[in-house]
Amino acid sequence: MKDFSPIFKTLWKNKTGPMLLILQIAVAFTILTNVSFMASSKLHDLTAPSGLDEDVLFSFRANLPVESSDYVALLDQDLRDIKELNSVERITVTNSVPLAGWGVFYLLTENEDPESYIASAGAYSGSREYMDTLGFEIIMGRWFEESEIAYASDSFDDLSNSILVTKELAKRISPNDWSAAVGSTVYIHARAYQIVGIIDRLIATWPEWHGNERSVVFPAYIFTGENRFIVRAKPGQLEQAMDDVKSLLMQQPGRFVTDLNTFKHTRETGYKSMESSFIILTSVTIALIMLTMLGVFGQARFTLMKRRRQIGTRRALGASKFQIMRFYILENLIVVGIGVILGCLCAVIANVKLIELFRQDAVPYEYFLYGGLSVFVASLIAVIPTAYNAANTSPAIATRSV
Amino acid sequence: MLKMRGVAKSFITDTVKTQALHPFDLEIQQGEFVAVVGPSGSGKTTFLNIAGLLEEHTEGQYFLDEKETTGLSDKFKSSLRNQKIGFIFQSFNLIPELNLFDNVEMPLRYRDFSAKERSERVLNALEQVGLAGRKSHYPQQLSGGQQQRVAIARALAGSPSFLLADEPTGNLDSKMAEGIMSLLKDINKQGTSILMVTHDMDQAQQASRIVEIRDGYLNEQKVAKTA
Amino acid sequence: MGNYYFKLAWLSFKKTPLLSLLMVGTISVGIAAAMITITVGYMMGKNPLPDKSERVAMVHLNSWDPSQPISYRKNGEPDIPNMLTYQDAMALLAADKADKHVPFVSFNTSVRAEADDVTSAQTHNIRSTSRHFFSVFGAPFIYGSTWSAEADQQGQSVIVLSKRENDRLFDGANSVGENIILGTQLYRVVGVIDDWQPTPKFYVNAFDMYTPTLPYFVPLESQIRNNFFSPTTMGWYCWGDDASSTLQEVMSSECVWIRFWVEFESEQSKQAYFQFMEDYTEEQRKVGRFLRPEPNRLMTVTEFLEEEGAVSEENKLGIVYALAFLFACLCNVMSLMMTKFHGKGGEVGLRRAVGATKQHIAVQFGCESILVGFLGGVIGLALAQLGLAALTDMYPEYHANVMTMNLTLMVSTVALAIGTSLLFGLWPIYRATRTQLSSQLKSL
Repeated sequence: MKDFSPIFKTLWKNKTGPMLLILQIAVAFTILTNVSFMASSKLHDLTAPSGLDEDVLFSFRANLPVESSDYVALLDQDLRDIKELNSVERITVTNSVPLAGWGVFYLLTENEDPESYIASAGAYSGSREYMDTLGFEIIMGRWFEESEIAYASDSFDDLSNSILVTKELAKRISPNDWSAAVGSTVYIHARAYQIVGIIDRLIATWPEWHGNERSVVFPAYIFTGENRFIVRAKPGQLEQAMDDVKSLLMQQPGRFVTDLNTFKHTRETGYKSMESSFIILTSVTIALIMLTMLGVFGQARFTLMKRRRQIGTRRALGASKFQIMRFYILENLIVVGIGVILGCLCAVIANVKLIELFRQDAVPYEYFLYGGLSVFVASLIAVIPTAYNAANTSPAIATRSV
Repeated sequence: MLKMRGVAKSFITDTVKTQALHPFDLEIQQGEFVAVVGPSGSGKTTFLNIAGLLEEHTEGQYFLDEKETTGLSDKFKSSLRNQKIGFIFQSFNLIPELNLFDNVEMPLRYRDFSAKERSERVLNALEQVGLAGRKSHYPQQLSGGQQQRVAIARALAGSPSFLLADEPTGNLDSKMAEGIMSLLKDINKQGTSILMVTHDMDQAQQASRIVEIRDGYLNEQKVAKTA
Repeated sequence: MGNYYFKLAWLSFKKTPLLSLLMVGTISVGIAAAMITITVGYMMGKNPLPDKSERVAMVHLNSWDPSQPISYRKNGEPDIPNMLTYQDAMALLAADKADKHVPFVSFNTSVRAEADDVTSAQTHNIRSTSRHFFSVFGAPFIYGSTWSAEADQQGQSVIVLSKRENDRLFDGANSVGENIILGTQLYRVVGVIDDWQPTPKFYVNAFDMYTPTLPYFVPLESQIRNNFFSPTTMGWYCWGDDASSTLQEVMSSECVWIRFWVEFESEQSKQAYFQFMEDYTEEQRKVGRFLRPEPNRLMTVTEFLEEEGAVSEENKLGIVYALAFLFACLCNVMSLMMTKFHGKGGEVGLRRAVGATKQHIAVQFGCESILVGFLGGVIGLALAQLGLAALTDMYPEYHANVMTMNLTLMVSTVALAIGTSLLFGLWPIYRATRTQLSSQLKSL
């Protein structure tokens, strides 16, 4: 392209403006790649399915206002009474509610030695109707036998040693073929457990935890002075079921029922801060693109102001409008291109530093590609009006005195 | 008052030396009205820039009120321009966003005058050019001739030793030009020296002396004094 | 003279409104982004007890499982619990080696005023602690005062409540002497504290540091007497085979669940106290406890905040990004200033011709940069307030204190805008002063 050499010459002659623009684009691009990556990983987490039939579920916490010797009897009574409500389909008692943010996690090991670490996993306990209440799917193996599900006060140590794991956890246990995890043995707190089934998806209780696709389920009616329950309402009767459950339980003196929330609410609350971060990161991404456009626009205006006469002369000497526009756009692309290349370098360096300092995930390379492309497109949009304006410079301006 | 000895100006570009002005001597006394004439490209502007301390000469000596100006610092030259020289430009060069008062006051701002003295001087100068009543107007509200009068007031406000006028009537029609010329002559009669570049031989004839610049050479022309 | 230049700057600002607004807008957006993140970081990292942060310390005893550590620190070293077992907490209280002791836990129960109907009861978290909680952590009383030493020892059913709860239950009246029912227990009000939100709330874990303070306070011993136990909401860690399904079992187990702070009159006694902790550990080792190698810790407020990472990594990263964003904005402003000052070449030539020195020109354009920076700063401040208000909405789990600018931050916002705009104006100003002088000035 014969335009290149004059463009470089002009750029070199008035370095400051283009250099500022390059610097600005480089910095903006560095942030852009990192921030947009962060935004899209948040989006990924936000939209991840929980594995639950979210529309019909709600959960609450209630106490057992009796002596501890009567806990089991009252728990059984409560479960029976609630299930008999017309608006309720099923109920389970559990130790923690998915995405509610409170629960326990365990470290799974290959054998008794704590060094043989496999993965950490969020732990749930489920009573008989746990699977049918939550509505997740077992894709391999089976649900617990009736005989395996026991009453447990606080730890799962005195229970049957059958457990279920999620598919993501199975992949850690048996990296080559996750389905082979069924029947294998893992250790938790140096006690052996046998995996009897694999759940497709069951999200752990901490919304922002990276490993929240890894859960393990123990067969148990968990009971303490206070319990968490998850209830599946009959379709369309969610509100009704919540009212019914509350008024039923409150008939007992000394009872409290709290944290009575639909699962949708739990999910929204759990993801609130992540959603906020996503909004912020997205707005930063947009602001950066706009800033870049502004910079390109300003720079193009400035050069146009300085070059009006020169452009007029070119037009007078026979340059077509198209040629003037091409010159402008090429010049812009060169500046933006240098900015993006420099930005890529900075972004890679920043990324390495960020991984060291803030333990961030590395930005995948397609972000550089798409980031670069969007900066190019944005800059084109910003430069075209000015280029058009330049191309429409009247040739007569050349003959006019300054 | 203004004395130039062997002053010359040359540029060196791409190893070629260009002599813009060949060495010349020139002396202007207090109260003189000197016209500088010559075709364009002859070195008039360079001469004016040197006389106005806007450009450094490359040879010779230039005395302003007995003071050697060669090699003075930028700061010192700025204050000489401010106190000794009043500039009048072909295109008036008033600042559009300032009103007449502020435009005339501008050079005084670069001097240690009290607000009161500045104000007195501005009003006097505007009075002198007959625009005292319009001090709050903006330049674009005036005709070209009036604008040039404001520019003259701005040049006069600091009571300079001489006025440096670069084609002061170049952008005006002949009627307005006449008015400006008579104003300049009045000012000259009151004792301010004037050095004026012009194309117009008629105007040049109204000066007390004419200096011609041609191809970088400066020559004194004898003028038939009008009585 | 300054006045004159600011007038000129304002005229020049108005002359090219689009350019000026772009400059101001760009600066204000950059400044707002920077100051929002800085505000959050600054408020999160603030010293909440400036006058005695070195004299108030948290006791960490290494009573944990000899077979494996409770967790690992960021640097990979084994960590020790930052809470105590009941028996250790009681032993430290009995030894009485510090000037003030503040053990605390929390429990969850229903609360109502005695006169109110049963159905009006609300479930609340109750802070169960010692009488010194308020004086050590700086909570001010509006009515009454903290409970007596006897109340601590005998576990009397007395309660201190927050202003907000007092407004709700007693319409803001002086409620000292009134009764409140916790669960099924009658508690007598002894004091009401004013709205109080230390930022950060340094005495708990990082993830709790920006949440609101609890609204009710009772003596720890009264919780035990009345058997309040909230296994599903309190933070606690257990190891070993001890049963832990009732409060009594937890109290006799190796579970850690009590946070323990102490205050000293002088920093010297802190040394002595640490020695006492070591002696206590030695003694316990003789009976087969405290078998892990990692040393105990006596962490001052500042040390604990540092260790817990009161300002999260994500926050620091946000500040870095926002500053980079500001930098990019300023590059933009610099190039706009180049345009602006370039367009004023004629005026510069004129002013130079009539006697302005380069310094005069530099001052004139300096004032213009300052004006742009000032306007950018003021608008940036307003944007930052909007942004912070939005953040307060978006992160309800953080107390609004964290997203509030104090006067220092507000002044810094404007100062930062002016400073940076002047700094990035230096080169355009320098270039402007270099304008060629000529009598053939272009028309302005």
